[in-house]
Amino acid sequence: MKRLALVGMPNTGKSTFFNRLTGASARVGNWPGVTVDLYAAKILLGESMVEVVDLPGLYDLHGYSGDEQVVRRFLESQPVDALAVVLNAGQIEHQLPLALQLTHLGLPLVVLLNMSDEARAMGLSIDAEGLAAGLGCRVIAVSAKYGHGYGVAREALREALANPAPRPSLEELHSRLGGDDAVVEQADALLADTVVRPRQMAPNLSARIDRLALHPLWGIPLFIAALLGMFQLVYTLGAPLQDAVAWCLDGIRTLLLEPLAGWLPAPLYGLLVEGAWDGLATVASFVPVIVLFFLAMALIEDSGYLSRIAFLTDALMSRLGLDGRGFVMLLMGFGCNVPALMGTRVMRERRLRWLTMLIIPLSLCSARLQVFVFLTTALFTPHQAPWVLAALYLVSFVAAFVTAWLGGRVAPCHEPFVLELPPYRLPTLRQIALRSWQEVHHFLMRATRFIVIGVTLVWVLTHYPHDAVAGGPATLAGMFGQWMEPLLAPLGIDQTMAVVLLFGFVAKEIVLGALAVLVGADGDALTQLVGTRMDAVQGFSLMLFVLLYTPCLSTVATLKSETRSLAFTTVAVVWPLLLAWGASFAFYQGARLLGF
Amino acid sequence: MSVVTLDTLSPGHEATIESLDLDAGFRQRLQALGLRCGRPLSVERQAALGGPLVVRVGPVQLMLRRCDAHGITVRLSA
Repeated sequence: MKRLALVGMPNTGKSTFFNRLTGASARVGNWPGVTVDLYAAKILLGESMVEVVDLPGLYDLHGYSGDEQVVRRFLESQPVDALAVVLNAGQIEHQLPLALQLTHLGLPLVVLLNMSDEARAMGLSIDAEGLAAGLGCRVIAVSAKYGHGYGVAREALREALANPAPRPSLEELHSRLGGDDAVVEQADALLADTVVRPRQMAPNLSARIDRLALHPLWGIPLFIAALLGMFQLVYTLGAPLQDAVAWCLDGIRTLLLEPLAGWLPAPLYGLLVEGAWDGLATVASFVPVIVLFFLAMALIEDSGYLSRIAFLTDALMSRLGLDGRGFVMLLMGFGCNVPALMGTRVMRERRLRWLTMLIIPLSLCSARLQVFVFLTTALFTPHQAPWVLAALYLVSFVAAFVTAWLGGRVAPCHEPFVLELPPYRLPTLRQIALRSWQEVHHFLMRATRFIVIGVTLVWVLTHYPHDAVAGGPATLAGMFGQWMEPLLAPLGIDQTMAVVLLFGFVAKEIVLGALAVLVGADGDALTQLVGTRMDAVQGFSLMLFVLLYTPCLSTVATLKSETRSLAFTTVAVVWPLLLAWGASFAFYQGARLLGF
Repeated sequence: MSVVTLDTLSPGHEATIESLDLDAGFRQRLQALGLRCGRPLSVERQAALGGPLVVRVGPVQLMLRRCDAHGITVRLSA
């Protein structure tokens, strides 16, 4: 099968083009010699199947950051039949040298001038044919976002792949990936002939937004307000949806599952309905909130605001030994810690990267959010609940900052960095729809992999030996609880929760599902029963512990694979555990001492 | 027409890049983003509390820390 690789700088819409080309059928591939995951998809182009690989964004082929080394290593080690180079037409002056560099590889090449609509709006005129002649390959104006020029691009890619160019040998490729001062002169000459840019750029909308958004005084308050507004919106829209999903799942249980599974022997019925189903249904009812939450995150991410957040927070973060990019990663971690950890690949300095990776797992991810939304609803008044949740986010930040500050003392580091502030953009409905589908898909994957197995195991542990009272001290879970009691009692955490916390290590969603299994109820009944099992102080202590203790299994695996250091991974697992215990202990004992 | 380091400029200043005295890898990155000797740039804004600068080079806006900008020498436009 022929292989097509997508190459381009960051912020060029390369991944949007990839998604459009492949219809989001991408899978993470396994590449010998390349240690990181790359997205690839097989598509039908013309009459043959072609494998399309989305390479990470890069600025040039010199390998300054980890991502660029990945691209180099990929091009050096994997056979590629053609390259599709995605350029941001609005910044053609900066992007052309990369395209020229790539033509030196001698592979069939197609240049896609993306965001051509945006370039035209800026008054930029680009002579695509002149560029094509200068580069010696086809140059096609496209808009990956709106799909303009997409058919022509597909056709050009098919032609490029059909072109029986001899595959250069690996040694040849390697020698061609060399230095390139001449490239810039060549690019300048070509640009002078083909690109006309208006001398004075009209002050555009982005500049006007930035005057407020990046204001020295108002910038940070505006950012916090935007964040709070986002959460408010997610819950206002999410709560009714959550009720609807819970109602549907309850209907399935009473109308379908109970009659169908009724004839099963009691232990099996309990395992399937009261174990697996109740656990999963409790977690699943939170999916609408999580999808909305990810949509809001995607909106912020695609809008170009993230690099502004890095700008606003850099002064604070530099005092903690990190930088603005680290703060952005923490925010990304609100969604899921795993992609945020992978995002640190842009950092080159190892100490800086590791320190950032150490604080990301403390970021309150969406799986933990489900647990907290549930517990705050069960234990606090509707008026108090949002503030309790806000306090947990605050604790998450403080824990990250304290960790960074301590880590920075142990291993101070500084890395020069530069970030682009792209113009503000609005994502299309299509992009939004794609994103939410990916999140639902991700949840279903986790559900089948971890959650069902986890909650089922919790059911078994809380019901065996079978002559013991369910959830009682004679069960396996009860025995484990008694064993952990000296550690958990000072935190005000009920010993029956020990087994729940144990499984929370696998995936934090299990905490909620396991709670349903443990209490033996779901829906509103569960909410009420939890309220009778612990008071507000105990509940908050539990939430503090769940927030900070060991990251989930996927996060630990990512930490290990990204750093390839067992010592670091151990620190990243043990430190949060200590922090969690210390924070819960201080809070619970302090609150009790004050008479709460 | 004075030669100064980039971190001393205030928002609104325009200048031409004279030299980049930075580590090789970082210089390479800046050059790929269009910060090359002889190119004009302008300082758009600066963050509070000694935070970073926003510099415009051609069509691109970049955020640079002041300590890193210290390694960039520029000639102020009249």
